[in-house]
Amino acid sequence: MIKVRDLYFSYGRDKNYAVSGVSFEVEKGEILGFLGPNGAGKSTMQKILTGLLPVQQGEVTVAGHDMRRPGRDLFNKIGVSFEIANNYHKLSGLENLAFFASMYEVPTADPMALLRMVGLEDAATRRAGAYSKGMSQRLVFARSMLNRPTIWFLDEPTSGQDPAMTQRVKEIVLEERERGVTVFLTTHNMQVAEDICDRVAFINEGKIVDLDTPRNLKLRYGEQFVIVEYRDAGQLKKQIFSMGADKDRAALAALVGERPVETIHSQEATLEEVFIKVTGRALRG
Amino acid sequence: MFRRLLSLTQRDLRLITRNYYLAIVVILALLYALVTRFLIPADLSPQPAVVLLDSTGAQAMRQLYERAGGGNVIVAGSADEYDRHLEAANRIGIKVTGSVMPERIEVTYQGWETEKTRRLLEASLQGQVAALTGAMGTAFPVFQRTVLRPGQVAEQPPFNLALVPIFIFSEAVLMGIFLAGALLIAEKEDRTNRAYQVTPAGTAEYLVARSLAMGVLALVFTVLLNLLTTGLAGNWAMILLLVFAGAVVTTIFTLIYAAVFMNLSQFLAGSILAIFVLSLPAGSYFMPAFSPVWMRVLPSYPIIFGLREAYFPSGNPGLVTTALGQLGITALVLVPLAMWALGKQLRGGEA
Repeated sequence: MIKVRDLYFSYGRDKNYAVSGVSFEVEKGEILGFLGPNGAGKSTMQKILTGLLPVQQGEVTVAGHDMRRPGRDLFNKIGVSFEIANNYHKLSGLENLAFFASMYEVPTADPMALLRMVGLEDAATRRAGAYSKGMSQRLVFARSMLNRPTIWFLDEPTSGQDPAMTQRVKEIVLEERERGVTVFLTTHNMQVAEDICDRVAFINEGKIVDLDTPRNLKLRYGEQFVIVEYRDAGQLKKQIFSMGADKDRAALAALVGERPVETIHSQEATLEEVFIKVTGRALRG
Repeated sequence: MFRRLLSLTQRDLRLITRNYYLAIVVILALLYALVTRFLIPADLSPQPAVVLLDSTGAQAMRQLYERAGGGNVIVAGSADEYDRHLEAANRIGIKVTGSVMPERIEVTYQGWETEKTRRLLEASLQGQVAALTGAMGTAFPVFQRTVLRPGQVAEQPPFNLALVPIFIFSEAVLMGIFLAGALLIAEKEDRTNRAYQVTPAGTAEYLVARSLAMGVLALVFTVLLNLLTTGLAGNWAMILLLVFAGAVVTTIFTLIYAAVFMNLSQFLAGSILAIFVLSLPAGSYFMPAFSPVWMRVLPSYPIIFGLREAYFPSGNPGLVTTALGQLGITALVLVPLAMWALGKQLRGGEA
């Protein structure tokens, strides 16, 4: 559904690339997470894929449309949720959705049903300018579903949401994936990526440094640990063993045979730890 | 396409209303109406100089004017001198004839004076003559009116109403610059332009809808001000057509040049220059002799003169059709530029 080949983009049209030599593909019904710190090139990538920035060098195809000349029909097929809420402040939530629904040439979802889906039904007639940050973000998220897109671009969809709403957003994304929707998720929230993405791409300084399933990335770069709690002379003690080291594995076996073990927890590296290991940069900042 | 256009126009009208643009326009129309009706005098005509030729034996009128010491009275010594003085366009002649006392008074006008001005002058003159003849016990002289260039100059509208086309031009037409620009910059600042750009709707529909909305706003102002000042006078259909077309063209023009501004304060500063340039033809409105070529090529020039003709017909309807034609040509030139600039602006100026 999305094909990117050897893509370069520079805002100054010089050698200072915001996106540099990026290639990847996203299959139908797949959720691809695009992960990276601020300024890594995530938003630039999404803008190119949604036609907000031109293709300068390389090839980009979205839903069969060459993004050098995508044509307006592409926008009947894609949905875009922006990181920074961009609603008409003087229109109500319902008016915002009704207006954008009327822009499409395909059957659209019922605006009120979408508002209900994201918990905004009670604020439907309130002006969007009076919404909180989280509500505004949910309105943008709902707007991106108006045309029932087959390719869905989500930029930080859980930004400003409480845990319950974050969970709801993740559920909606997974439901859409079940419907066959392809999702391109841009985020620096590793937990969200880990929970819902089929594959994730690590982007740093405009380049994809790795792309795989979260599990494979963690297996490849992360270290598995086992944390054991045991009694020693009546005192509760805790010890961590690396599963990658022969010495630790032998020590664990010895401990289990010699001491009364109370708990054993396996612990794998988080995506964030893997990201830091791969790029040398933290995700936030 | 039509559904989208309707939705876009509806959106713009809602934004216009909820941003208080409509309220501002209504208040402005009421203020202009008040100023026009109650603060600006109907007649501001400068007093013309009077050329007096008194060929009576007693020279009573001449003595009367000389005693009055009016600075704008020229006393002619002969008929030739009298005729020579009347060659100047801002002079009115009073020729008094009679053997001893005035028996015949001929008032000669240039042709540009309003009927009201003429009647006021004649009434004043009759008063003076009546006082003179009454005192001398002679008969009231015969009055005669001569117009040197009849019909050459149209009847001038009252001064206050003559300003209405200028008010309409400056508010109904030029307001498109501020309001259309403000809406566009707001969309840039709150990034709704990007949300629009990722829908199948295009720049053409956006341009048409924004122009329609601004046209409607200009019509609201025009209708209100007209009803409260000139009433049903003038050619309403032509007035409304010109105002609408003018508002559309200035909106298109604004959408082009607003491309270079990233925020509202920059845009407002730039708009002052645009409005200054577009307002220059208002000078020609008051001094028709001052119409240099560079001023006539400004799109605002034909609007101003077309509006004057539509409000106060002088028998030259070509001025209105010329104005509409020039606006049409201007629009044809500006629309492709606007499409390009708007496409760039809707993408946030990053392309």
